[in-house]
Formats: sequence, C-alpha cells, structure tokens
Amino acid sequence: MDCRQCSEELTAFIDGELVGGSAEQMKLHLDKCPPCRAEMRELQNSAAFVEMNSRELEPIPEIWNNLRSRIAEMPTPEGSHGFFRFLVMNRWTAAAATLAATAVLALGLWGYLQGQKSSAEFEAYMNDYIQTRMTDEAIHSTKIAEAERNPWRADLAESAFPRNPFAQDRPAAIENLFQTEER
Amino acid sequence: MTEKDLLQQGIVPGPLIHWIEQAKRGDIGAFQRIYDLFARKVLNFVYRMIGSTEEAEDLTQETFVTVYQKLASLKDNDKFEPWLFRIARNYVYQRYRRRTPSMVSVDEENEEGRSAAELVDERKGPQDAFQAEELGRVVQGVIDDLPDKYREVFVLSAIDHLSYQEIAEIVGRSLPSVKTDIHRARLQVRKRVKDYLKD
Repeated sequence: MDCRQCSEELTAFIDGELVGGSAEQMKLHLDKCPPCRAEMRELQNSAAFVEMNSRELEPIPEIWNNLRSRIAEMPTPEGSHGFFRFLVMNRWTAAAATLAATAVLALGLWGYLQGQKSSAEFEAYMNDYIQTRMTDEAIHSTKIAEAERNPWRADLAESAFPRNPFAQDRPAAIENLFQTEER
Repeated sequence: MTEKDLLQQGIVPGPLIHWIEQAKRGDIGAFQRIYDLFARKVLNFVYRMIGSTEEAEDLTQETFVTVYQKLASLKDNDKFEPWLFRIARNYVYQRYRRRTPSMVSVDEENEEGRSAAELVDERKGPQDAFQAEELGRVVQGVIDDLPDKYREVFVLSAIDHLSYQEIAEIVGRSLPSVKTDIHRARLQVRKRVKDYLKD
C-alpha cells in the first residue's frame, strides 16, 4: 500500500469499515509512514471536535404529546387489522382487483343502460298497443250495439265479431240421418 | 447497558424487535418505547441537516407519525433504524424544496432564545456554556456549508455512527459512492476546523 491508497482509505479505516486484509495493510503502512499517521490524527481530531461540539438537542415533551394525540385519533396502523389482515393486498393484487372491479362496474352500467333502453321501447310499445286496443274496443262496442239493435241483420253481426278466434265457419247442417225420405 | 448504549454501538437491542412487533399491532406503549429510543437521534439528525430547532421538532413529529402509520409495511425489523432515518431524510428534503438554504439560519433561533430546546451543555458554568454555544455554532456552520450529499453522509457517519451500509440504504446510493462522499466530507470538515484544533 502506498500513501495515495492509504489516504483514500483512511476515513473508512478510522470508521472501522475496513476489515481483514485491507485493515492489516493499512496498519502496516501507518506503522512505517509518519505523514500518513499525522493525517490520520488530523482526521480523527477534526471528527472528534465536530462530535464534541455539535449542539445536541433534547426532545421536548411537546413532541411526544402532540404525536400521542395525533396517533390516538388514527384508527389503527396500516396493515394491523388482526383477523382481517389477510385481506391486505400487495400492489399487484390491488391493481388487478381494481381493474376487475372497474370491468364489472362498466359491464353493470352497460347492462343497466341497455335495460333502460329496452324498458323505454317496451313502454312505448305497450302504450301503442293499449291505444290501439282501446280504439278497437270502442269501434267494436259500437258495432255490437248496432248489431244488437238490429238482430235481423246478418252483415252487422258479422261486422261486430270479425276476428272472433272462436268463431269458426259453421259446417253446413248435416242432413238428418234419421229423417225418412219424403216420399 | 441500556438500549440507547447498545444502539450507540450499532447493536440492535433485543427488546426493540419485540416493541416493533407490538407497535405494528397498534400498541402505543411499545411505540412510545421506540420513540424514546430514537427521538433524540432523529431530532438531532434533522436539526443538523436544516439548522433550525423549530423545524427539526416539527419534522421529528412528522417522521414518527409516518413511522406509526407505515410500520406494518416494514418487513425486516432489523432494518428499522435505516428505514426510520430514510423517512426523516425524506421530510428534510421535502422541506428543503420549500425553503432556500439562505433562509435557514442557526443564529435565528439563538436570537429567539428558545427555552424549549434544551442544550446539553447548559448544565455547565456560564462561561463554559457560552464557549460551548460558540463552538456549537461554528460546528453547525461547518456542517451547513457542506454540500447536501456530503452533509447527510457526514452527519450519519461522524455523529450518528451508522455503518456505511446503513447510510447507503438511507440515502439510496451505492456503498462505494457513499464511502467516497464520506471521505471527501471529512476532508472538507478537517480543512474548516483546522484552526480550532491548533488551540
């Protein structure tokens, strides 16, 4: 080890950061090199001077008192939820959960909007249907009344029940099989 | 030997791990023990970084609030101290961004004569106390004049006696880079205090 190397490693040596072979080499060099020894003493003395004369503050009680008040208002330290601690997620899990929740929310919103649209269409259809049925019903009632007033008119009876699903074309009267032939 | 003595020697005291575990579950009593053990170190680290007692007290409180909130996220309890200092350091730099270095004055609080900040050397006689005050001001001036990246590693190594590895974890730089900066900081400090050492 030469003086340049010694000088570069001197602080680490003083701080006890050199171990093994490096520390041994340093000791050997310092034993035989008065200028490096003097430099080491200067560095040690200056560090000791700073440490000795550095103003040392004592924590005032107010720091803890204020701190105590603040932490007392906090719920519990993050991640210390006892039984529910397993629910605490790492950042990737949290990111994935957030993404999934967003997707579910978006899907739900889309479905809701679709539902809204279907409801509106259904409501319009039903209104139209009801209106048509009411009109038909009114016309039908009029025709029935007229047919009842004129029971002898077959055309009115036919008109009053034009779409009767139960009305079937009556088959022609079956000839009475028991009737004897007129002679 | 107390827990503080052990810490001073770079040894993590056994009860600390237990207190950390308890505090993670919301035990404020255990948290107070942790606070008692580290409050002074954090306070003085912040003070040396920004040179203002009032702000150091404020940031110390903020640091410990964050520690309480985030303690459960600390996986390796043995790394508590570097983790704690990293939080304090973050607050220091956040505050720095809002305040120019020229606004930070060591003298300003001395003029205010704050009684809350008790200096250890006040127990000495008036003349000694005055001299200690003067030297304290000189030392803080020397620390203040160091560039940011030298200042923090100097304070953490020369005054707080943290290992280079711990300092590298706190400042988020490589070990060789930290080692170089500590050495350069020591050389600058030696140059500045040389005159005082002759007396």
